[in-house]
Amino acid sequence: MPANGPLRTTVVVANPNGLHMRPATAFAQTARTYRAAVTVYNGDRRADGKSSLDLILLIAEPGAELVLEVDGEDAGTAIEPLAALLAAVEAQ
Amino acid sequence: MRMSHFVVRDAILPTLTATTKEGVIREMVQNLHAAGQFANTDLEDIVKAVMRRELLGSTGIGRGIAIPHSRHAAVTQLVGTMALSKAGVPFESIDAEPVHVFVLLISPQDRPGDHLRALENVVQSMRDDSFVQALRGATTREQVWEMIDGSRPSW
Repeated sequence: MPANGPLRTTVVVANPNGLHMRPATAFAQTARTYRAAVTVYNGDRRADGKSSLDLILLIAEPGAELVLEVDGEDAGTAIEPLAALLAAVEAQ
Repeated sequence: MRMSHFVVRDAILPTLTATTKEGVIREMVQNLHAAGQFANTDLEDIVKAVMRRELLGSTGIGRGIAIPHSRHAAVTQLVGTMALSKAGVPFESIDAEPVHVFVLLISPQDRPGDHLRALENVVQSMRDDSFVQALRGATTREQVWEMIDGSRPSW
């Protein structure tokens, strides 16, 4: 089912180290597998979800509430796995 | 925050002699030790921790820049150093290009926010091509320090 307009969800960063380089890289890699545009917001900061360096600029600390926005034909498929990655607690 | 808030001036290396990833990391960690940031007995373990992190994925972010890092109990506040290689060092970067500018960060175990802010600061500073070019042209510790101390203040 094609999405109409962007899909949005709020995600709390559960990683005790926040969205540091490794989870940001993993998220961007997965985001790039979708055609939809992926944007992540932390308050006033906005990042292209397909760029790990952009995501690092969010300074998403543990417990931060991020808004994930996915816009495009495969947005409906993309949003759940991407939200799960953003919320994930990494293996130590 | 500026890079000069966490880069230890006396540990800056304007001319790396190492030509390998492990060599660069060792040289940078040794310089942090020589600048009094942790005991000699912690040196080897810190090198290993930074190398273990590299095995999970290179911290070479492309455009000749790498940010090797690790958490380690030997430090009580985030410390960093910067090093330059004129020749460039293979680092398995995302763009496969050799690295000329290195920023190494060692963070305490329990201060994730400080690490995230330092990382943001380095990435933000390194987005400025003219800043990176100027850094790469620096030949002395003082020149590097002046550039990072004068880099744009907090965002």
